[in-house]
Amino acid sequence: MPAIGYTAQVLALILALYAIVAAVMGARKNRPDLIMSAKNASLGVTIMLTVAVLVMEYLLLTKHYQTEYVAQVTNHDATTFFRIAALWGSQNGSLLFFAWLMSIFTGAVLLNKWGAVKTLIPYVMAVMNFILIFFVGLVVTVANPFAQLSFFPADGNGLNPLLYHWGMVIHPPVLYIGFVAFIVPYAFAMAALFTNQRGDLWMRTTRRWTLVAWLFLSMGLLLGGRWAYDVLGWGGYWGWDAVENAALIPWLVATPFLHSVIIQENRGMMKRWNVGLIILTFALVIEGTFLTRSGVIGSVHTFAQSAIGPLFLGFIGIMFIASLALFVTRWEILESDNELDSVFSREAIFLLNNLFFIGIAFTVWWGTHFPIISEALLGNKIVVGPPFFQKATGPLFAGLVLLMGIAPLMPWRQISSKKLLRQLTIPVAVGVVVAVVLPIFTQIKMKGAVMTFAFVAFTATVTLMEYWRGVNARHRAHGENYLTAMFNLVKRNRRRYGGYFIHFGVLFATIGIVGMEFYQVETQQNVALGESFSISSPFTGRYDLTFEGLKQVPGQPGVENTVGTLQVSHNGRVVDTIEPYREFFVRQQQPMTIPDVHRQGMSELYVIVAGWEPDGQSASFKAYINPMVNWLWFGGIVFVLGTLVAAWPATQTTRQTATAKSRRNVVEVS
Amino acid sequence: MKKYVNPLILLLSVVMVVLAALPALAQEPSMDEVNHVARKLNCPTCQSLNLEDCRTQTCDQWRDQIKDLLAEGYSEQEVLDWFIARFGVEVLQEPPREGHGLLAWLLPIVGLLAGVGWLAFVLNRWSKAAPPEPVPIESGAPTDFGVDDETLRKIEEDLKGF
Repeated sequence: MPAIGYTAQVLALILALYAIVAAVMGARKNRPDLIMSAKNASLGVTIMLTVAVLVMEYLLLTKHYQTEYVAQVTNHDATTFFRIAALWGSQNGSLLFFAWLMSIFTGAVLLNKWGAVKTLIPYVMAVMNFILIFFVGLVVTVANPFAQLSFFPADGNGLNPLLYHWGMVIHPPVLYIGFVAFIVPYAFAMAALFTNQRGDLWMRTTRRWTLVAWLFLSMGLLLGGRWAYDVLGWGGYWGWDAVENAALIPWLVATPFLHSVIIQENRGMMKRWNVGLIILTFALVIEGTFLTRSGVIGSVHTFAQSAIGPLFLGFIGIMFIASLALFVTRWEILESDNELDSVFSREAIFLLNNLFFIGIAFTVWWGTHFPIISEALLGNKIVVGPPFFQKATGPLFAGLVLLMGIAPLMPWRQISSKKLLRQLTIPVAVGVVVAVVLPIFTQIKMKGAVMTFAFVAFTATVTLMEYWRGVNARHRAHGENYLTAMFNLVKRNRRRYGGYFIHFGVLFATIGIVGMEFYQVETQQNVALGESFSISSPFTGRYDLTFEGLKQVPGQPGVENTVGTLQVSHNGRVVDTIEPYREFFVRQQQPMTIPDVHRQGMSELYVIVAGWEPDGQSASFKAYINPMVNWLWFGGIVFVLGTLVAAWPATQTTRQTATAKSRRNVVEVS
Repeated sequence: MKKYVNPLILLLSVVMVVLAALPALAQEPSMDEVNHVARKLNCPTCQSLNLEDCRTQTCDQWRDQIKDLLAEGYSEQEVLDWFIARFGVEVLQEPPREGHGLLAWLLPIVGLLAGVGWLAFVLNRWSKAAPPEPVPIESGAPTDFGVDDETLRKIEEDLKGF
């Protein structure tokens, strides 16, 4: 059985190589039969990788421990669910999984009807298969998940304890889909460069694919944060860990791309910038995979040990340099159609938004890589922890919240200062009122928090007014009632109003982030049975926690749980009993601290068991008050729904106008 | 031989005894005080977690060390220095703002300034370029103003009324 899986991988590799040659030759010699053959070979890659994945799942489910990977990630205790998920539980399997997901996207692209972009398709296939060859090559050579042990072990090692959580089970696939789907806009951009296409056809064609990629990447980040909050037990949602950053950095570059493509579509500007951004996004995706897979950030020494490290680095180098070379040779073709009319225009604000995003991306990238750069070049390893990232990116994020409010007010080309002032009056007034009222009447007094909330209020007002303007116009023009008008408004221009929806999600999340970053309080106390300790925050009042007992409970197979019971009183009144616990994975000798929470409105009391005396008569607990934290999760849901609205396939009529529109923009130069 | 004790020596010995006993008399530092310092240090075994949040045994020992040092009267900075002296600056969560650590802080600022410079350059060049030509609109083609056909038809219909 393992031999079948391995053979399928090898066949996928050969088919991918063939597809590149056939596609390029077919395009050069204008032979549709060769292009057709390349297409079939590409689909063959998808089929072969699907076979390999199915074989792997079969081995995992049938406890085939002679397969090294199966022994590494499962054991007799594992449930069916975690057996299936073990496919992405460790390096070799997740590389196969990654390659397979990527091939699903390349296959799906080819199954589409590409009337208008037929000329691009051969090169799209060549680029996609080139990327696939690297990943398939890895699983065929240095990271073969089907490698066999010389003996048949009685039992396997079992999955990393950290991964025993639903969030961790769905987080990697979601993130991977976000990563691999960026291959679509990247391949089309490259193909457009190859064929000297001047228009923005590549961009329009892949717009929805890009949004889907971005949606999954965003969801992956959100799920990762939620998992950290629920399982890691340090009271937070984001630890600025290298692996987390590896997923955030491409997102920070893809987001300005999604914005600046709007400038190119409307004004024919920023063509070079957009191509540059998509190349950078995809290079960062591959680099992110490399960071996650190689463990290189821990130390340069792990890099030397891991066989796939240098291969990855070589591939990123080749891909990046080749893309840049192609980009530079097409520099003249990508000249702007229009010039900037005024600094007071949406174009200019979008440029500023790009600068902020790229600034944050660069800062995070630099901070993430600094330990290894300093170790390799300066011989002095310097760790860059969360405080650095918070201090260095916080102000830029706040700036983005403000820009998010200014951009919608700016029309394309230019605006008279008089008109701008008139539009600004109400939102600025709201922002100022919030800035004055908060420190006087509420507990929010810290400058950074007050300023960010003022920005949030300003931007929320602008966005609401945008909706109102649209709804009111429809109400008057079509006589629709406000609800229907709202529905039709969004339906007519999903991208714009879905986009504003996303902005609202960001604003809600910002409230939660400010609450956590500025006003989280914590305490750690040692208490004997029956004793209490207290924690209070101006946002929630005072909590008294009484230690009622500690008990050993058998958890899932191979895990011992120690559960602490605490009675929660809020301002003197008993409101809840919570049971945080510590899981101990016997085989791996690894503890996990699982928190329990008491919710109060949007805020949360979050408690973990930090330790205990063997007799169970006293224990130490760590309690946090996380003010407004649920705004973050709520914002995340709104964000995802907004992206769905923006990415949802348009109705037939709107699509026709869109294609008609894009057709006029195709100007081929050759 | 004089049979009395020099009062100065007596005083000195009393002072020394009291001083030696002081740390023991001082109140034991609370867990929150220990955590406050631990937050600024890295966990020695796992990557990127700070010492406060890590629940491994090594980290327990390190936190006990902090507690002992605080009990001996070390200030927060002195505790951090104690760890730096033994494990190097890489025990710190935040890179130091001097020496090589300064590079971590400076480059993003330099990058951002370069970005601002580039933006100013681009904006300046674009706005100084030839005055914008009117955007050509093909006759009969739908306009590019983000107005859909339906709305356009409606507007034209409404205009007929005037």
